[in-house]
Amino acid sequence: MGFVVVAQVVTQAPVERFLNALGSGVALGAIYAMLALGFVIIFKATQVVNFAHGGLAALGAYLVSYFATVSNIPGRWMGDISVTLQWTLSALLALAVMAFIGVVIERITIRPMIGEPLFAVAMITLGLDLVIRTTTNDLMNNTNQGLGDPWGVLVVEIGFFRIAQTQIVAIVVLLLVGLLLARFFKTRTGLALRATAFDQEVAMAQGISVGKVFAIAWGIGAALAALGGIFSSVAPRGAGVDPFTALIAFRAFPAIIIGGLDSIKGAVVGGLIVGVAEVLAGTYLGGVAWLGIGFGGVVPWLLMMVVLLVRPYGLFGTPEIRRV
Amino acid sequence: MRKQYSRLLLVVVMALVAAACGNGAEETTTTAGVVAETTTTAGVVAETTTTAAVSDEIITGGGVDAEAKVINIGMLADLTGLFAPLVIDITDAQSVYWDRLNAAGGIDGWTVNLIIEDTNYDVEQHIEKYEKIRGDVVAISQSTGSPTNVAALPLYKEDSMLVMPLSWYSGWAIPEFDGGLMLEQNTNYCLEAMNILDFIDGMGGKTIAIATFPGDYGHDSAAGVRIAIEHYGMELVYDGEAAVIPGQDQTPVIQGIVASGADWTVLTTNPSIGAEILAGSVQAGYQGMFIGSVPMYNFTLLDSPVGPLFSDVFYQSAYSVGWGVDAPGNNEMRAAMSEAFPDRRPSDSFIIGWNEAITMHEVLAAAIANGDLTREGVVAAANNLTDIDFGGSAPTQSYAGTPNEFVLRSLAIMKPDLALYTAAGGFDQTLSQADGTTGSAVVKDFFVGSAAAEFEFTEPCYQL
Repeated sequence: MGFVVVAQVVTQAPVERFLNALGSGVALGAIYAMLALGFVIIFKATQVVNFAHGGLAALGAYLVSYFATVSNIPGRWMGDISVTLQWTLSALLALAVMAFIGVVIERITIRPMIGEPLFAVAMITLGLDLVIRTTTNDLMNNTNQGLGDPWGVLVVEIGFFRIAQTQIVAIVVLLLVGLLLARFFKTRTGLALRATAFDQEVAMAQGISVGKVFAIAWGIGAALAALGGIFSSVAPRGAGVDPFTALIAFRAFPAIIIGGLDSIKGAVVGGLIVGVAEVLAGTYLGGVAWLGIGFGGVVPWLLMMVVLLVRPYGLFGTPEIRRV
Repeated sequence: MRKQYSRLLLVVVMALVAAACGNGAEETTTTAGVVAETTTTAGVVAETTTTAAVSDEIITGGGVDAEAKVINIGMLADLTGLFAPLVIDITDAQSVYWDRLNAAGGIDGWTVNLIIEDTNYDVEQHIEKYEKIRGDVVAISQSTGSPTNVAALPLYKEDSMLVMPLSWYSGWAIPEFDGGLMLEQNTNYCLEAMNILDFIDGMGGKTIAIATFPGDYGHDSAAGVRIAIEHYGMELVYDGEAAVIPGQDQTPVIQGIVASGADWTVLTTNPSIGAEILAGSVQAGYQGMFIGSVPMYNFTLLDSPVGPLFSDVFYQSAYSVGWGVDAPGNNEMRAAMSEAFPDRRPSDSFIIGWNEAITMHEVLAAAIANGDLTREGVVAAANNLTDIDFGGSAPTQSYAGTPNEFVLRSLAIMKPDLALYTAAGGFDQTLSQADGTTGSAVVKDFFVGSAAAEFEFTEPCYQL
């Protein structure tokens, strides 16, 4: 049987194509950065790599869906308020619930493991991920649940540059989170977290409640995971939270490694690098047959491996110094 | 310590990168029995008629209790995996069908017992569950998935087990591939795509973009698109065959569609990723229309923020009619399901399970009529069936003759309508609601386009 020759009609100008891909990459990077920040804060305080991050992201997105579209909480008690405010309040409530869930997880499953090998703790988080994801999938009947966000599929168009309103919101939220975290680390609690990250025994000797610091880190980390899950579940990234949502956390792994496992700044920079690299690679290398299908998705991991080989602690990570 | 983590992460990461790139013996007994000639119309259980016995002996084997007159059939269903929402409804519809049949006297006095196993849409679990029931059943009346069934096919062949796949790969109609054991339902991805392009041709579309998953689903559909593009003199302006990788960023696919400026884009994905591509393309300025293969669309998308887009720019292909469509077979199913589950939500999947059960009913009735309820007898009966009638809910189906003679080529086109869905109650509808709908209306009733009609179907469109 004969086939017609495929004609790739590219009507976009190169600049237009590049800028639109760049905008999409930055927006995707913002989502990765939110997830990476959550990873990093938990690791920085507790030295635990949280493999349950994907499950927490999906659960957070589901809670927004439930609060905003099913139960209208807290909007139902707020009288006549705008849809945007109503949704924002539901999202904030979901983040608060996720922070609480993070604290509970730390208290029940992580704190009893203090002093045990970190590998064992990491395995516990892997198990947690399975439990949270399965439960979340059951809650949403294994299908997609819309989040009811007020931006929907609206876009902002400036000349030939188009970007979804949700993507702009994601970038703005990342900036806000970055500023809030920068301030947080200058507060008394933030200093306690930094001290604990530096040396737990010394921190305890200084009267810092390490357990409390762990709980706060897990609370913030879980809320940030949820934030990433929310923005990966709205258009154009998704039509709602679904069983695939949790996978977004694994896609953020290169961002953490590239930026440095214990670096807040690195999480943001790494997230943006990975987002842009993934989209640009997909855009320009996707049609290169010999590279195979889906090469764009591999590029962030290749980038991560290169960074690991050159700078084993990432671009902004703290090198470990051992006295011998 | 961080080095330890780096190593651990590296192992995990390498695994993810790798992932990205890429019967027991049976006794045969002979028993006295009433051999019957059975006529089944549109699954109307009560209308099953029995005529005088032609023979007084029925040969039975594994999966049949001749003394108790019980026929065991199995289901290897994804009840907890990615396709669970679809398959749970399909399974429940089959259960309701068999319960009603048994309550009405079974098939000439034979009771049909359904053994359901959850496979989680996982190849290993699928094979494990098949191993568990292979000695206990005479046939499988639903088996979810392509990779799962391809992996288990050698086992089916060992057992001469008739299996109805919940998968529409074109190879299931080719005896050289499946040994004549896979009793496919409806048309297949390849012929479906040809008919989709016939519809587009009728709508005046000339330039086509495709975006598909890798694997039999995406490649089979893409093969059909290419054949039809040549037939209708169209132009493929964006070739996204196998470009849609689940779990990866879809911006490159979206950009490809937008840049192509295609009149129509054919999506062969799952609902959530299809919605991501559709919404992303429209947001990026794409002005064309979309149409999706059957597994690409789920009416629950109408509940999401992208629902209005689906209502505006999307058509869906359909192997059988939707919940709200008036057809005798569909109406009968609706009445039965509403009685069994009055508080459930409507679903377009019920009719799939219901029609599967009708087909298996016909197979078993024919095997009884032939006096052979062994697995081989059941397979032989299946492969000689013609014109199974679903009461207008799906085209009649045959299995006798060569693949080119019996393969089903019909398809319907439906259009999601958010206003229709919302007016009926949207998310809050229940089965007991008389005007319940999943929001889609038929815009082109079952038809066979010229590309599909003229296509010589002698081998799978895409070779696994």
